Amino acid sequence: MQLHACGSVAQARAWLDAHGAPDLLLTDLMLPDETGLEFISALRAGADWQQTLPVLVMTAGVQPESMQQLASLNVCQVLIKPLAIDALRDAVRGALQARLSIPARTAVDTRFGGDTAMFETFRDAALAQFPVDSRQIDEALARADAGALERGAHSIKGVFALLREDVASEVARRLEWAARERRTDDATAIWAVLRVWLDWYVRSRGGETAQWAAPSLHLATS
Amino acid sequence: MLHMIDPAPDTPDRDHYTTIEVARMLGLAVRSVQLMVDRGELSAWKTAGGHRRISRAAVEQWRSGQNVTARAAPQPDPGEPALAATAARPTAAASVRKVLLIEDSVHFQNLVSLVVSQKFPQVQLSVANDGLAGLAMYGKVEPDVLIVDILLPGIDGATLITTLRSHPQFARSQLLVITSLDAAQREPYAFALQGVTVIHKPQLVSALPQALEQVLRQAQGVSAAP
Repeated sequence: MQLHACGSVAQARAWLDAHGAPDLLLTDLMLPDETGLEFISALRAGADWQQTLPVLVMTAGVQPESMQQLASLNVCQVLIKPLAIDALRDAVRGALQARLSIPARTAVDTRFGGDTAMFETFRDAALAQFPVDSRQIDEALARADAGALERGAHSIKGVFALLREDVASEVARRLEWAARERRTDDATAIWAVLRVWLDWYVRSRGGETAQWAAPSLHLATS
Repeated sequence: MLHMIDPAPDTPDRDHYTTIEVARMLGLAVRSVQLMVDRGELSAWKTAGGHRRISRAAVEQWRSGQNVTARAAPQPDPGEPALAATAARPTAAASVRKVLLIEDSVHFQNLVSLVVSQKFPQVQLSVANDGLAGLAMYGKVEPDVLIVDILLPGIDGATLITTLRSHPQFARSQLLVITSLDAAQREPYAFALQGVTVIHKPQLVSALPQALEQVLRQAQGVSAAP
């Protein structure tokens, strides 16, 4: 993880203008030029990513009415200084994970030992590789190469299992099985379904982009 | 560090690339490329969705500034300042441990290289895409540890293991098997898996570091023996 420190709201604005969305904003409330509250309010009135950017507040003290305001601005957590390193680490980890979809959060916890960064690196690589996988499976089906089809489906099954997209993993398992038993017609039908899942995963960036609902398409046969 | 001996199968012809494409083009771990971007060694930008995009010019510039031996140079260890890598290389080379991964799924190549680069910065990871390439690379790399997937195109992992075991020089390497197959599905391969640590892929991130640590230690014992 990379930390970029800014000493004022103006500096923070300049950085955001230059670099776009960070993964997390950690801010004090008492800053030299503007208050943290004003800064966060302005962000929430801004672009989409500014409205959803996870924000953590660190402050020496906060009035109850400011606390309410912070809550209404969708601040993840308010940490009171002086604070323990553990509390800060847990808050950062929690805020980073909160951005993720439920399967992704489950994957971070059950498959990646709580390492959000590793999960995201793996997922981003998977997003880039899925279109290649799809093409290879198309080709395997076209030349009736059951072995290549089985291995392709096997790989995707394992990836979706890691990402905790369990339904998609099950669809891939059925494709692997159909390929192993040389049931070509079944394999073709199941591939059509798995392909919808793959496309959905890529388009929704791992289920994070809400406008793409998860496929409701399931397999009728077992 | 990931050392890809097989050349990247196809280099996309575009003005900018994704992190994973650059990783394949340069023969580096995805994480290494991300760190190079974050350290400003490769100029890049992020899309609205947060993906890194790297220009072709940046990739070519980086390539031209590297000779063959320096390919393994970028240290994936974020805790170490980049300049220390150059100065420390000669001494570090002595303690470099070699791991050969034979795995056909690009996804799991990525995952293993992520885990290895994060937890074992002293390990040089080589990757082969199938059993035949793996056998060919085995002699070249002389790895301390061999990590093999069971389901592979061509020669399957179990046959590969049996073949390697019949060669005396294989005694210097320790073996780990990774697979998505569950216990029942592994049954047909039991002949090859006796006494071998088998890592179930869904648990790879948590199980691989400890298993690799252990076999690296055993490999050290083997090579230190008279």
